[in-house]
Amino acid sequence: MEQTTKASQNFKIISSIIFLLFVLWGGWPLLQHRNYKMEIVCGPGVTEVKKLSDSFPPLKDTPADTYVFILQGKEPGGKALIMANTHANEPEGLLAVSVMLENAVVEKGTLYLIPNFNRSASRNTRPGEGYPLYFSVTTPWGKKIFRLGNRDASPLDQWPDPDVYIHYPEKQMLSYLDIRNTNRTWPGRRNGLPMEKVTFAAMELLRHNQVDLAIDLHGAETMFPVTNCIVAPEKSMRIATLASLTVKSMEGFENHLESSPEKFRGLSHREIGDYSATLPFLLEAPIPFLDQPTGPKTEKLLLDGKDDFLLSLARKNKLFVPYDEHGWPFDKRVGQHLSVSLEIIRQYSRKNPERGLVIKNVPRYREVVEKGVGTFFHNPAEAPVERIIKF
Amino acid sequence: MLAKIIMIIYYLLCLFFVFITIRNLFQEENSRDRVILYLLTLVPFILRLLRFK
Repeated sequence: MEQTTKASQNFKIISSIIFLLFVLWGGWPLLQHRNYKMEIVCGPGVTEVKKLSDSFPPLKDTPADTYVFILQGKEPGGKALIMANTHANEPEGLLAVSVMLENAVVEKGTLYLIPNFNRSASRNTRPGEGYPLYFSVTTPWGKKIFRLGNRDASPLDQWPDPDVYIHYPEKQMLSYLDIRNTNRTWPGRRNGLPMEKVTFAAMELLRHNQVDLAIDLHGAETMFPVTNCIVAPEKSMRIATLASLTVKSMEGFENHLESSPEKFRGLSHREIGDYSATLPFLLEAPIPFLDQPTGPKTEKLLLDGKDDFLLSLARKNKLFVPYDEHGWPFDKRVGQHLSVSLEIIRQYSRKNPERGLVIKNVPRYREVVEKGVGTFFHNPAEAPVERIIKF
Repeated sequence: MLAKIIMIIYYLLCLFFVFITIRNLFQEENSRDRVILYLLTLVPFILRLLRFK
């Protein structure tokens, strides 16, 4: 009897230790990922570093607060906001904005850059789909590592979800999950849940600073029709059309137009335009990593966009973008975002000279594709400490 | 505000379930299956309490 009890005790102790090791083995990398800091070396154009909570103080000291970089030109002019990582599993926007942050010089007007709009989502992941926790970009000085996030904010930061998410103020019923999706919570709510506060803070930033243009950078599946495009509402369509035609004729890549649906609420390209004087645009670059019928979700797939299953589907005309054995590499996606953003700003400036912006030193599509996006990042080890921002 | 209160209650519930499951684990004398079951049950609660996931 005594022996049985002792054996039972031993079994309990050993299995408890094994389980604890499993918890740490699986959980510790997630904790590290959540607390990993990405680095940006502020370029010569960055004149001020603020936070979103400066536009809406209740966000201060919360996991949802995020950096806003301001690049102010010497000459007064118009204002533009470019934001990335609204969906933190679509990181071409993050890289495009990072390239701007490290290189852009604004001569006229003011540029606001938010590289990590949904900070909580960037600290989240999707283990069920085997997402890599990080990805790296090759630079002349080594590898630059970025956190790969998820589409929605982490339940650690915003929970519980409602059974049905009722959008404010339009009262449209949306999926419960979209309450943590910062491209469904526009125009936000002053006393809402954290992600509603994030979009409300961004609206405050746009309204108080009288920002002329807002560009939201995304990525979309190759099997999804709204990909490789500019999504714009009626008021932004003229500028979007000019930008789309210009990049096609001058830079040789397709970026078609999609009209922002009036009856689908909560999206940046709809609500920013409806609830402020700002002209909104949403850019989608094709990201094969997000497609469902692919091989494993590896860092390689994220970077080069090459997948045999997608290639097979492309041969059957099932994709909405041209796709061959070269895949859809990161450099191409980042280059498109940079060129289209710059072109939207340029076209707006041509039509509204007194509210124009002049931005220099930002590479465009061809240069990024030729040299690789990593070429445009600076080595934090060689940069002055006060110019490095970790987020 | 309501969501915050629910979140706090949820963490307290997690703590309660961790406590009673560990107590049951200690008291279990006969069934190895139940020991494994208790340990499996603990995993999501511990991950949430430690804010791993």
